[in-house]
Amino acid sequence: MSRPAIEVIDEEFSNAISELFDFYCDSEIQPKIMTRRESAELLHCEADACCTNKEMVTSSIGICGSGLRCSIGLLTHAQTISKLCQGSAQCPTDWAGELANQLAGRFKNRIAAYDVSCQMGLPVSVRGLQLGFTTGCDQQTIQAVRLDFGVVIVLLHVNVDPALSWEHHPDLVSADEGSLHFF
Amino acid sequence: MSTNVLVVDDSATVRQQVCAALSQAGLTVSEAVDGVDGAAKIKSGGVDCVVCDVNMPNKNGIEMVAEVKKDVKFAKLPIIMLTTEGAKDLIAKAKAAGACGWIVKPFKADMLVAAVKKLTNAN
Repeated sequence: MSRPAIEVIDEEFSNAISELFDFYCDSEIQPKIMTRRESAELLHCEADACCTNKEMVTSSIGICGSGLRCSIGLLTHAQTISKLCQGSAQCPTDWAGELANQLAGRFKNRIAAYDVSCQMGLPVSVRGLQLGFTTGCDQQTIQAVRLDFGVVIVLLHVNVDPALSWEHHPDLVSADEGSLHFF
Repeated sequence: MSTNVLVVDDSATVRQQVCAALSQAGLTVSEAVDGVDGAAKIKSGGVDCVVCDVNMPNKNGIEMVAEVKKDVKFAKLPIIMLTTEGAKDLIAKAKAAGACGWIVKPFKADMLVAAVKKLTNAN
């Protein structure tokens, strides 16, 4: 049974976010969809509550292929992203880039089961004060991931034909995250 | 004699995580920042096993494996890919290039250590 591509993208992206942050937090994560303004306010409030340093990091990575172009962005405070690293990250921008890369990879692996073949770019990260997302495209979703030690805002900006539909192919499911294969 | 593992990844944080896991298990580690650096360090000798990312700048992991495996000296060198990618076509490409294992990130330290020890017969 085929489904609208945009519906599949939204669902699989949310699942990818939950799984990735579940792994690093060892707890069940429920991302919440919100507006850009709400996400900015939430980050501001969380910074006051959780962060002694207001420095922020953002990381972005692109994916394209099979009628799909999208970019994934992460935005949070440097202290929050460091705490997400097992052993704590020495360089928050590097770790933010790696998390964006792992999120993109997980998303790509999930949509591969719909016969969507994509290529990923390399993440680009920036560190600074008062960072925010400014894109105004209709096909974008902002989700907030609440952690015990702060908030991570995740943006998905999609460029896909609204009429495009995809069908699930169980035989095309990618290797599971954390799995090991010997040849 | 200690087993020398080369960790090739463009993320300094991932290199730090992988090296910490392997060194805590008694293995000796060294690092390379991309496929060009990795190939050079392998060719310089003394590497018993390689843990290598796929998506990296300058030269990706599969290209690095293909380059290294052209030299018969490294035909038996075990190379494990450690990557966010799980696509079957990429796994097949890595296998064809000469890699001997594939782990999809994020990884569990004990699994990585077990894989390296299995491939190098290290205890």
